[in-house]
Amino acid sequence: MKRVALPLLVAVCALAIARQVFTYRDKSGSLTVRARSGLVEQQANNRVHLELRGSPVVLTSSTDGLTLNAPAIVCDAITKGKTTIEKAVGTGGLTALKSAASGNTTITSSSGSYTAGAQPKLILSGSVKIVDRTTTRTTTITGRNGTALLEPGSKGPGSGLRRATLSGPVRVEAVQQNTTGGRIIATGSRLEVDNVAHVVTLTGNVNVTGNQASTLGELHGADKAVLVLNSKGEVSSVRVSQGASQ
Amino acid sequence: MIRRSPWLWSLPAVVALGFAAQARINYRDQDFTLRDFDNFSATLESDGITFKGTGNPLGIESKASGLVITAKSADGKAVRSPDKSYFLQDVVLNGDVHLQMSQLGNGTATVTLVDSDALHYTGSASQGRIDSATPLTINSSSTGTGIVPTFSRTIIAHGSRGFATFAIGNAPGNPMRTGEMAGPVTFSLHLSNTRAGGVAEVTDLEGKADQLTFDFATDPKTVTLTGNVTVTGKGPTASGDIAAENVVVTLDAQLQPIKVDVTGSPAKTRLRQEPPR
Repeated sequence: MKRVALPLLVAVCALAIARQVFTYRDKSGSLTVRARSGLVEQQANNRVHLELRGSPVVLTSSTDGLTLNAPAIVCDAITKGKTTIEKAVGTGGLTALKSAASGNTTITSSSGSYTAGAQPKLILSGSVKIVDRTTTRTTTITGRNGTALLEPGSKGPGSGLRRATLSGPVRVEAVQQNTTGGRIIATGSRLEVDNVAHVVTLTGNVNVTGNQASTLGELHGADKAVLVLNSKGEVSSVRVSQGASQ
Repeated sequence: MIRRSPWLWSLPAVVALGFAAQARINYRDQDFTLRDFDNFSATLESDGITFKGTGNPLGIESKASGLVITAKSADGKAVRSPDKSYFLQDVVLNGDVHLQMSQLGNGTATVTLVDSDALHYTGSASQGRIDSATPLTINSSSTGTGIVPTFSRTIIAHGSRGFATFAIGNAPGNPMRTGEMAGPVTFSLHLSNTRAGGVAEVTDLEGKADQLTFDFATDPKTVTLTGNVTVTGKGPTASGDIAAENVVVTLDAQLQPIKVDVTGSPAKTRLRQEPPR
């Protein structure tokens, strides 16, 4: 009986240690952290430095409307007033969820670096996927490496994604306006989403295809295609150019 | 030891050439295709596509309209019908313009070719119009196989400028509707009717004029020739030559001449009766 009980006790303890989760919540309650292990260091000048590991680490700033998930996150936050993230680097597979007034944006990449400012920025590495959602539509973008500019705060307009630039083989799938289930799929070498100007621009051997419910056909081998979006972020038209017509 | 035939070595090259010869599709939806544009810009919207570009040559095809066009440049719009087929609404074509319209209706297959250096096409789902300010040739060939008499008919007209309207798609009757050509105009009509029993009746008509107007949309169908008209005709019942200021040829449903009115001064007509067959 003793021979069985001891290893069992060790295993239970090991499991408990492995599952041990530490959480951190700042005084204002706007920054919460959930990790398996980590370091939280209060620094001078109203700053806090966090080095976190977990499966995954979940770092949430309600002031920024941002949640970062990654196996490892290093973060600097400003604790003056309500805590905000100043800079955060996530590695080992990052998921960033940005919340905004009428939607949200989920960004996944191999790793990413977030920098706060008037126009918060995420620099993304490796395989990138951005799912840009509002109450009326979902736009999905994939590529390799790029940047995403976010709306500041948690109450920004739309999905919270202001602009994004991706390189590598890129793909965008967006809703076509005035259709029931019509979707436009465009691929190319580079992509820029501009939710302020309401356009998605693809360059480099661009193909654009509409699905069965769409009213657009197939467009092949253009140098440039601009998906023009309406105020809801749905595709209203596609402008393409090729050769000297650019 | 396996010996490969020399022909096998050339197979990849043949395949590669085959791919190279394929048309390059710029845009396609349902039965509408824009191809071989070297320079191309377009705006795709729910109701159709606005396009502009150049090619050597570029191609535009609308199967619902029976239209195939090649040219060196095009600037126009194609509209998507509720049934998802496309028709050309307005397109300006330049440089070796070759327009082909194919129609099938009531057992009659008609292929109409229009050649010009500059052409303006306007149309709807059921009707098309071409306008050319440069020399143009219209060549319309019809064959009727499901009816008696079976027939074949070729109308060729060439002028320095002009317009023509056509029925689009598979409408019954002759697709050519109305038109006008400014001179010098040359024209010809070849009609062969084969009645039951296999006897063919051939009518040939050709001539010149300063102006040619045709109206096949209303009955009686007419071809009106104006100014320095010369016509040479040979038919199953009569043959002859006409030189006059104005000639109006009245045609039946198969566009076979049934009456010729000659007016003006001077007018010279020489008719001879063909021997009965």
